[in-house]
Amino acid sequence: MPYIAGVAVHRPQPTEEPSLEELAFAAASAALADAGLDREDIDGICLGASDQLDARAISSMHLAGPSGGCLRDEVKVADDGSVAFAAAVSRIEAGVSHRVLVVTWHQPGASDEMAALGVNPEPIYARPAGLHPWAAEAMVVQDFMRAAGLTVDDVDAWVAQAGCTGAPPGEWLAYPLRRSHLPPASRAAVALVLTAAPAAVGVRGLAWGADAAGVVDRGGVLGSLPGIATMAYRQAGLSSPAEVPVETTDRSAVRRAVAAVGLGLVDIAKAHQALEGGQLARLNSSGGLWQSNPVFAAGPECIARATQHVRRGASKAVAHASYGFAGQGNLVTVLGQVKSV
Amino acid sequence: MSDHPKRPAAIVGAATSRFRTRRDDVDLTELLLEGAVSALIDAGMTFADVDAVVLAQAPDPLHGIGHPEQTAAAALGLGGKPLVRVHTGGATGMSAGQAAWWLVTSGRFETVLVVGAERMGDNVHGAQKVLNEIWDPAYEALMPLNTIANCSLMTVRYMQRYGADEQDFAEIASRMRANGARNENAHLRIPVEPDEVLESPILTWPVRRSMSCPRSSGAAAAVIASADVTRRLAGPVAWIRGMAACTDTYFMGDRMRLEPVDEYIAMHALRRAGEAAYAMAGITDPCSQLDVAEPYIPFSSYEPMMLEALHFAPVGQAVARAREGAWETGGEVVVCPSGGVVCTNPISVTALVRLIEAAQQVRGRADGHQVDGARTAMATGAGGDAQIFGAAVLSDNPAN
Repeated sequence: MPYIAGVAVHRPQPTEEPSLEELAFAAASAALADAGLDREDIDGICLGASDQLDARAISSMHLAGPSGGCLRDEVKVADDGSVAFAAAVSRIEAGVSHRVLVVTWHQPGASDEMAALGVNPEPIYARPAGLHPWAAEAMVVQDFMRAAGLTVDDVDAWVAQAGCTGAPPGEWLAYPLRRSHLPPASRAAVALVLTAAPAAVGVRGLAWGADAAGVVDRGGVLGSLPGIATMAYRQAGLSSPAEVPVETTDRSAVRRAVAAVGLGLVDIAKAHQALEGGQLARLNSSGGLWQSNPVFAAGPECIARATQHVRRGASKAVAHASYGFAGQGNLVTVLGQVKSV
Repeated sequence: MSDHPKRPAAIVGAATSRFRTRRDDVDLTELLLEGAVSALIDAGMTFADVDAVVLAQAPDPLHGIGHPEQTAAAALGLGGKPLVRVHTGGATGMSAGQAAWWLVTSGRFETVLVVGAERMGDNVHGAQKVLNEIWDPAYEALMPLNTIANCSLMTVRYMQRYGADEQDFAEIASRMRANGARNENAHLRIPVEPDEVLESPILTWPVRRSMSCPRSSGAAAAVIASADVTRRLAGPVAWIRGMAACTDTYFMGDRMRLEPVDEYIAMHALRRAGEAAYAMAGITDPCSQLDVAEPYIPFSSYEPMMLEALHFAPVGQAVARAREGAWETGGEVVVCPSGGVVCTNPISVTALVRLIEAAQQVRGRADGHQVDGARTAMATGAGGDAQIFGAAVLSDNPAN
């Protein structure tokens, strides 16, 4: 498996108004600098982008160049930024590329997220019934809360206790999901440099997969996440995930609990108690999406954070991205220290 | 650019729809299933044999569903299997094939299904309305640039520089339409004479309607598998000998470089993608080593530019070679025996259809448009504003 030689998360200052191109350029440049490489050294580019969120018909036309893709072997992956990471891993494992730059971004002002996501459901049956992706997310959350014995008051309390600064409390998005349960979207671009040559952080395990968009078709409240996590852990020889730093895309307050259970950190019957009792301090110690939520790039930011955990001394770290329609997609990667570098 | 993969992979099954303007009988997911099931049957496989799926879906406004991979996951029965959705505009199908090839040659998966579908005939505003929105909104979208105007600008430059004329492009279109008449899956199957092409309406001079691709709906799918899997299959396979891509900078005016000519019509990115794929496959003289080519040529006037970029002819000489019959059956390389993009253009999968057509030629399964004795073929994809390119070389032998 490849190595992570460079990472960067570029967050512009509130007073700055960078274009998407400037965002991507800044992140790519910073990741290359972190890896000690320049653009000429790169032989592959994997972009992770959503045309809807970028409000462009083929956003990579404009963004491939600033991301480092000028006269390079470039591909755009559109499921999620984290899946672009998986594509980059595979092309290095295949031996066709040796130094791949993954670049992904989110600019909340580029589009109205609620409207942009509204065209995602199937148009004949689901869309006329009002099945917005956030309504589907509420259905998943409700299933999980029922199984875990959680109430809306519990979730409200978590949000208040954590000092989360989302929307004001009270307004329903779709029961039992309040707007205040969602971390606000933020501007950022994330870039990762993957190499075939050893670096201080290695990709030790990687698995990903997609469940059906339909919530009732997923075979359980957690869908395929436990199996995906087990596969990644097995590749990495990780037997105790609860003992290493774990970074997850907690796209709503309940998603942190879903990840804790799905990733095997705690049993569902004890999730409530573990989260309230502070027994999961290694889960999103960075602050998760409440600290930074570049929606489409949030998964890669988790990978960047896990990389930093390993660089600071953790023997291993886990990054988990939940994406797609009501979290139908999951990617789990395990990063580890490389002693010989 | 790209290096040889660590292990070989081959296309072991492939299928396309019979393309037409609209497919009112099915929705997008049913169309995806049509392609996927047909390709799996061709391979002698079922969904249970598939380890991962790569979805080829290009601009979402053309098929009317945002992030269609979300809806497709259930239709394709993934149930937690890996999915990668690729979108590089018109190059999407080739990029998806390349991503699937990475997944297999990485050793991570043994069998990967690459599938996509298009229903752009449903778009009430017309494809060019959508495609106008791929351009820079401040400067170019207002001109208004679209893919036809983009081609016209390049064509005029080529005519001025190398002396080609409208008759040449009409002859090329007529040849492609004659080829398409032999392909039962092609969208446009009625041959047209060069005079008829020149009598068709001007879209953006010098590009006329009959020099241009249609709006097609349908699906395409291919099954890519490891060498271990091919040994268990009874059917013919097409080995992927080389696959590469190259993306150029966005603004056409910035694409001026010294080699081989300081011109954006040199299609530098296509040339680089082709050279990288040739290098992997050991192709040093395309015209003598390739039997068939399925380049992504959406307008007949692109043919000379693209064939020159792919080293089929010296710069400025592809039209003269066409007049000599170099790209026809019995010529140097048979170009677009399927009729090519001029006869069929379902954008999400147009480049995948090119890859499939090349594979079917090598597998001997191209039916009415089979080129006798075809053993080595190449295909390309093209996307954006003639900006994003992919190329592949296929062979009936893993290392001939």
